Amino acid sequence: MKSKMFVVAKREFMENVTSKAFLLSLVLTPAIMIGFGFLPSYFAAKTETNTIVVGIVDETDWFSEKLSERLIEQYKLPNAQPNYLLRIFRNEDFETLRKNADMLALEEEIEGVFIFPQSIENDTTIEYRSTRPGNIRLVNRFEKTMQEILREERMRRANVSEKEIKKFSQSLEVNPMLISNEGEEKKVDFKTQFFSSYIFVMLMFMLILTSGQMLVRSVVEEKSNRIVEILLSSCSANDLMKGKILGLSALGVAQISLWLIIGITAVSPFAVLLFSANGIWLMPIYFILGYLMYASIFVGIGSLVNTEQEAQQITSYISLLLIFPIVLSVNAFENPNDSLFQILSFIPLMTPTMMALRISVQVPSAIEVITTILLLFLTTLFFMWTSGKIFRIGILSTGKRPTMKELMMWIKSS
Amino acid sequence: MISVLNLRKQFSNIVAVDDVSFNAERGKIFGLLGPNGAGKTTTIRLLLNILSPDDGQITFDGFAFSSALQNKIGYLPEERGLYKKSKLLNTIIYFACLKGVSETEAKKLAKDWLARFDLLNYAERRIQELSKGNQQKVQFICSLIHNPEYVILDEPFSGLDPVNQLLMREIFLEQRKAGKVVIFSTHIMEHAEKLCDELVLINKGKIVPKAFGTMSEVKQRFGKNAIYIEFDGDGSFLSSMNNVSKCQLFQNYAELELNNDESPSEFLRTIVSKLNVTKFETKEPSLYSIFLELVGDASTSLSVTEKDGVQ
Repeated sequence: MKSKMFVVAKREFMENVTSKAFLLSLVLTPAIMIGFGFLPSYFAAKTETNTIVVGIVDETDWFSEKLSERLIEQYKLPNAQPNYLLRIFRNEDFETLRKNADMLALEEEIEGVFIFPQSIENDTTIEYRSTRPGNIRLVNRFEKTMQEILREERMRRANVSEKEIKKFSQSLEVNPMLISNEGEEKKVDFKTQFFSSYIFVMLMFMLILTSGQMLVRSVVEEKSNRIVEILLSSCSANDLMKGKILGLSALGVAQISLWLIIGITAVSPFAVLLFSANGIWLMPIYFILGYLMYASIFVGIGSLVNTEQEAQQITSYISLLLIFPIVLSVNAFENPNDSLFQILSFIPLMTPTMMALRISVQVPSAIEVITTILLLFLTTLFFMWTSGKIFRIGILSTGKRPTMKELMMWIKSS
Repeated sequence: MISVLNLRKQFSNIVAVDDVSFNAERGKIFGLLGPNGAGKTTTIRLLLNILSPDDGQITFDGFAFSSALQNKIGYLPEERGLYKKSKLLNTIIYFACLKGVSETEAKKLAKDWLARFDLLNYAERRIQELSKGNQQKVQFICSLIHNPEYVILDEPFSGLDPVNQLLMREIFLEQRKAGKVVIFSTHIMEHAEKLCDELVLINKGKIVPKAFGTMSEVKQRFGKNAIYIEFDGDGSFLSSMNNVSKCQLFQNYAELELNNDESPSEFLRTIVSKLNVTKFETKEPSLYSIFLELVGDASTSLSVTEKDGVQ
């Protein structure tokens, strides 16, 4: 006899694969991912096309000129025009100059104002006033250039020869290389690495979230419509639960495969990104276990509540745990073996995302990999077992939510 | 035959089903009667193995419940619901497949049933586009499509219009004729009276003493041997006759209750010599009045007629 589990799984798959929600998520998820992942870097890498005018309130009689000259020399627009032009405020009362400059900045005539006091040669800080003081690229570039000028000027005043000044001022660029046990070495592009694991984590997150919600929705629908009575008169609660998880997992796999096929054929860099990640073969293990763990949690919750709204409240809190490592992703890249990240990796609800982030930078020690997988596996089994117990009774009980004590009784009952 | 022996189910501090026993035989319609909250639905859930009993035995033609048996049971729950967004035909096929029918067979059967219920044109529509009455028909189809040996219907008439009630009755009789075990639960005695061959009346989880057996057995057991007479003359002697247990006397009309062993026709013979009897009527008790008598006082959640039910 064909197992009823497959009948349930087939229906869950077929009903959802044709639903509008699924088709929408098929399109929206990559869109959101690209939005989250690529837009910031796109903007960061985007070159400006217009010359930016920056005001300088200058008490000295030389600094602005040097700065202007150096900026024009170093930063050019694609059309060979200078990226930055300086508007210098001088020869008036310092306070008046600053007020005038502020006014222009507020009127958006200029991007912002740097204040150079007479004492600049000995100062360690410089003020930048703007309506957008967070323009990090501009601030960084000015900072670097001003530092160069001041350093050279200080050397000059200490009677260092021009030739030596040039020698001392030579800058240095770090060239990061990734080494591995196999003795290989390759040049690392931080962005490649970041996005490869970022994509993985986001994929996992979106998939767990969307199919988790489908799972909850289908359980709540059957429960509130009392369809579940007909279902349970036809198959066991266990078959029903497993069938649902299986059907929606198949849906998830179909979804990801489709994305990958489109991704590989249409945007080959995407594929390169994905497969350039280290320890890529470990990721599916974490992924599948994580998926099953969250699916069983969602099924258990779905069987406890009476409305979809209630269910969403609870599931969104749980999903936060899943996304939490993403918040830490930049730090995790800097130091994947920080003890905090190591500890977080052992919290099963975070293990899949945390490990995915760390693996892409440096595969953690074998012991860590094995123990986290084992722990995740056991936790998944535990949640499946517990949810099975809760599901069996919860799906039939309506009215008020059970108390913790009642839940424990359900779990203990044979 | 579905045989239930000393069934018991307790929820925390409420005993929902307490020592219930009955036999529902093939080719007969068995009524599981009782007021709301009597334990009918719990009993049915125990039969279906949705709940497991604390004590007692349920056998189907001598066999205990098994997962293979699930395919032989057809069940219509009291509260009706279907997948609102799914298509009619797909839904019916799904429920049939869950009962072990192959998909191709299910498709064929579903179309036959839809044709019979005049719903074939709706096959590719979504359930939510259907009227309530049509949704109910779909549910009947879902519970009967796999040609079950044991048909269990919980309040099958609730919310049905007269036309569909007739259709339902027709299906009932058809199932009985096919030699199936048909159990149906209801709190509407008029429905039970017209359909049941055998019945059991439960209240607060227990079988009401003596309220089980065939319809006529139950009526006999609780029959009041009541007589209405209209007459000319002085009827005052009626109240003092020793075979009359209860008498309500009016000017030329009386409602009498005779002792159980007294035959009404014998009684008539004795009184015609003294009175000019113009009308004589024996009154058989309705199931409704028995029901009221037995559980009316005790039950707080009594509901004997349904607002939208057509009597």
